[in-house]
Amino acid sequence: MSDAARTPDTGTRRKPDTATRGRGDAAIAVRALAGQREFEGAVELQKQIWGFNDI
Amino acid sequence: MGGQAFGAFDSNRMIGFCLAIPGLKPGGGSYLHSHMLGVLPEYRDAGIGRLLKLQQREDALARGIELVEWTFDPLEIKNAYFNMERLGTIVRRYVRNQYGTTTSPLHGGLPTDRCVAEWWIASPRVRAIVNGSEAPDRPEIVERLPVPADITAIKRQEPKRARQIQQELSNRFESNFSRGLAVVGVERSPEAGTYLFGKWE
Repeated sequence: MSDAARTPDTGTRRKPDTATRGRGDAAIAVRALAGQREFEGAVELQKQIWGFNDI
Repeated sequence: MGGQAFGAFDSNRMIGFCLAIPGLKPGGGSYLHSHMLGVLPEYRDAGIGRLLKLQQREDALARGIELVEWTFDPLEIKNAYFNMERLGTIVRRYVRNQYGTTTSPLHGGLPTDRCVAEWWIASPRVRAIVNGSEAPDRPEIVERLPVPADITAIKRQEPKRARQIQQELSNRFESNFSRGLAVVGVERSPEAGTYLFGKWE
C-alpha cells in the first residue's frame, strides 16, 4: 500500500475525496490527511494562517 | 490516542485543514476536541471552512461520536456567527486566558479568553442547519450581548480599549452562564454582532 493510501498515524481512516466545491475554476476537495508530507504541510499552513506555532 | 485531520486541497495544494483529538467526558462519554481549523486568506468566504467542518462531523458520526467541541474568541464575531448560525453550536462555558498570551498578531496581545462551542452533531437542530433546511425555533431570547463590529480594528489600534471590552464581555458571559443561560444564536449588523442567550434544555 502506498504511503498516500495508508491509514496515517492519527488513526484517521483514509477516504476518497468526499467533499468538493467549485471555487471559480478550481474544485476544492476535502479529505483525510495521509502521510508525513501532508502533516508537515498542515504545520506550514498553521504558521501561515496564525503567524506562529506556539499553540 | 489517535486523532482526526482533514485537508482542503486546490488541486494538489493544501489550502486549509482541521485537526481534532478525541477525549472522554467524566462518566465516559467520548467526544472530539477540534483544536484547529484554518483556511488561507485568499480562499476564505467560499464555504471551505464549512466543508471541513461537515467532513469532520460525518467522520465523527461514523465513529459513534455525537459531540465535537472547540474554543473560539468571542471578540471574533464572524467566527461566532459561523459556529452558531452555520453549524448550529451552542455555548455554555467561558474560559479566561485559555492559552495564555501568545505571539500571534491575530490575538493582539490580549488574554486568550475563549468560548467553548458545543456541536451536538446528531441533534435535530444541527441536522436541520447543516442540511440547509430551516433551523428549529430558538429558545426564548432572554439576554442580548453586543460586541462592536469593528473589534478587530480596535484590537489593532486601541489595545487598551479592546481589553476593556473583553473584560466587560467576560463578566457578562460568566454571569449569564452562572444563571443557566446558553448562547443559542448570533445576530450581525454593520454596527455590531450580538450574542443571543436563552435557556437550553
